[in-house]
Amino acid sequence: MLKINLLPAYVRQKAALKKAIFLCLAVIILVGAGMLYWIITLKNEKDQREKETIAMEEEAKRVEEIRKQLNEELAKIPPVEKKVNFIQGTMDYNLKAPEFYEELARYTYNRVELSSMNISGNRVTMNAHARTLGDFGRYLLNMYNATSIYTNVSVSTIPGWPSATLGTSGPGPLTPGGRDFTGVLPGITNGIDFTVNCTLVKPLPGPPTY
Amino acid sequence: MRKPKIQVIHLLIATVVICIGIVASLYYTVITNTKKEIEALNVRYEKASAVASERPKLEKQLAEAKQKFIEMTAKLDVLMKEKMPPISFDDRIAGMMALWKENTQVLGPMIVRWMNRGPLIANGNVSIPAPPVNPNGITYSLLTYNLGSFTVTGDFRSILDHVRDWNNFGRLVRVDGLTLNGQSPNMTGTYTVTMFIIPYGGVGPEIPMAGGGGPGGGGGGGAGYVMEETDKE
Repeated sequence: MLKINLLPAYVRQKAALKKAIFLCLAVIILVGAGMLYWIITLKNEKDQREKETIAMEEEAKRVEEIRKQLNEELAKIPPVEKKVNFIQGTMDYNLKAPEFYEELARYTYNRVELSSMNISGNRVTMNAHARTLGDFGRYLLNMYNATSIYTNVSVSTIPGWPSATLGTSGPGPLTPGGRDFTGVLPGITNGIDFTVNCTLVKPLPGPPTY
Repeated sequence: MRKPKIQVIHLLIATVVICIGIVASLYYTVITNTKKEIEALNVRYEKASAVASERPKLEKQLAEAKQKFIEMTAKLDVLMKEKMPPISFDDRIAGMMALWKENTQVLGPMIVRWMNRGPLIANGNVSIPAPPVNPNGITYSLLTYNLGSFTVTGDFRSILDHVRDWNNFGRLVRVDGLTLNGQSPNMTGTYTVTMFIIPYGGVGPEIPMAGGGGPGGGGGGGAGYVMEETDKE
């Protein structure tokens, strides 16, 4: 049997419309719900972040307190350290001159006698006496080798010949077999007095200040 | 039956418009603001986190600083006990009287005994300057006395040992200008001695009845006596 629907299309439209209305409402509700969900999620994230931030800021406050304590402790140290350094520095300073004179004595040839030693800043002045020219020469060589102590060594001149200082008043007698050239000139009785001026590599440190 | 006025297409268009309206309004009001707030919170969090991350380092530095202070203080206590008389100007009058005793009774004989211990022959005139009599004139944290020049006679090593031995004297002294003359064993060593006193504590309040102060006020200006204005505490 053939079915023929002679009703116009808009008759079924009412039903279709009703369905469409429900569908549209559902879509609107879904979109609304989705947005609401998004908003709630963001709000939760914001609340969580806020709690974490507050906790972290509390911790930062505590750390600032520690920093303040640290600055207070650091400020207490310098006055005490100053006194300690001054006392210890003064006691160390007292040992410098004796230490230096002992070092100087190590480089002094033992046949040369020093009659005075004076340190002033980075200059050392010594008055000395050598019995023979050879002793004087060896002393000078020692001083020139003391490069760890001195940068510059100069000595006063020694007199020529004849010299009352050296005790050579004229041609001395020749020894049998010829003149003695071992460094001991015949006729020298007084030895050689001379002055040595030296510049120190490292000047003695100055005294500590308070 | 009449043809309905509203068509499905109308509904679709309306639905789309409404959805866009809902999304746009909620996004540009609520969601954008919330995102901005979250960003601001992140910035605060990062800033606080940077500070908080220094905690271990700062705690370590604090412990080290406390330890260093304790060690320095202990060292200073030992040195002060060994080298300094028990003088404090927290109470100016008491401190001044303690200084009187130090200058007039203690220090001179102490130096004379020290120099005469032997084995060297010692020469020199020990002269301790007069102490101050105005407590308000005492404002300094370091007292310096120039005790003058001393000469000892002996052999080279003994003279050097004698100079080094000043570090064992009961007060803090500085030995300057050591000059050696003559020949061992009758060598003479000449040097100058300067003594220092570091008072304990600080400087207390002025005494109103004592009048105005001033450096070395009231007769503290004996030869060789200096109150150094090196540190006012």
